[in-house]
Amino acid sequence: MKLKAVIVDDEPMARSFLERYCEKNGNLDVAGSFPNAETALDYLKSNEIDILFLDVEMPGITGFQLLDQMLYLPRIILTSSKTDYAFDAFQYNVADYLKKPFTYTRFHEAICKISNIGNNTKAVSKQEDIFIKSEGKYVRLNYDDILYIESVGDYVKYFTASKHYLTHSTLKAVEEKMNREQFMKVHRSYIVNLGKIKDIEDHSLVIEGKVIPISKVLKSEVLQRINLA
Amino acid sequence: MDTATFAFDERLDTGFLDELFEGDKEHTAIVFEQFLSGIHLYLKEADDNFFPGNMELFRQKVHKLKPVFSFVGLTGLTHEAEVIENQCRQNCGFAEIENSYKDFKNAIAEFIPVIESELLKLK
Repeated sequence: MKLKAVIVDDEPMARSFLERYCEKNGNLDVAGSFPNAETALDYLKSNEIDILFLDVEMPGITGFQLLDQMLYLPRIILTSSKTDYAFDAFQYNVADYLKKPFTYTRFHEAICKISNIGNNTKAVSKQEDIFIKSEGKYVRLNYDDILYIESVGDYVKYFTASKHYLTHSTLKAVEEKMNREQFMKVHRSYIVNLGKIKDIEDHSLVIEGKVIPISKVLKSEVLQRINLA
Repeated sequence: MDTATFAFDERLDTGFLDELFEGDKEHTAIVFEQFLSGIHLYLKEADDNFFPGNMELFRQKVHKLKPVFSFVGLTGLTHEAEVIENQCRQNCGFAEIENSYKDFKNAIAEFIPVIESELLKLK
């Protein structure tokens, strides 16, 4: 069965490319192609779709404001000519980010990625907590509350918004134990919660005001994991 | 439609165009036509905001123009548009942005006949 897609972009040439690419793909049915978020929203309120190709910067309601008003979120592929929406993209669980202008090959990759996400979702563990031993007792931490983990000699520190927990371990052991998509080792001394990243610069990222270095060799993987590459 | 042998004008980014259209002459013609029918309106909208000094709205119009040039192989103009967009973001002086914008529009005027000629060849 074909996936039902909607395109929202105020630029006619960009819409034309997406319509053409969807047709060429063969597995996508363009249910609507809208020049602004307002008309798209009217359609989306009464029609369920599988994929939303969404421009970010549009006159009137922006792409993210449209998402705020939707009752459900389909798979979202952002299409924009700039790439500095990392934090918002992650917050909305954006599946991919196509920087305009993009080729059919890149478009096809995005569609394949969506198919893979669909398959992987079923296998994702439902466990939401981790127990760590700190100051002689076991503490339960919700994965979503962990901002980042720092290696400090023979110890690691788990940072949450309100406090930190020191535990005897190595970053490698933590990495293996957590094994969750939302976490990534970005430097020999840091594992970060990708969903908590506020800003990314050339060689560092920021979480809750803390500047965390990114290893040169891991930079491209970081960008890929947050759908910016 | 196999038109892999279609040779774009050397003044355009032929490598990028070949990759973008993959020899689809019909789609190429549609896009080139869309560019020619829309570019003057885009520039008028940019002018309408630039001259009264509505720099954020002007920046938004330039932002929209960025990929449009690449769609017809004018990747250099996409870069120039990005420079102007960044100047607006950095609140550079009006005169500085005006110089860049003037050069940008001159370059567009120079390339429009090239796109027109390509469209004729495509048809």
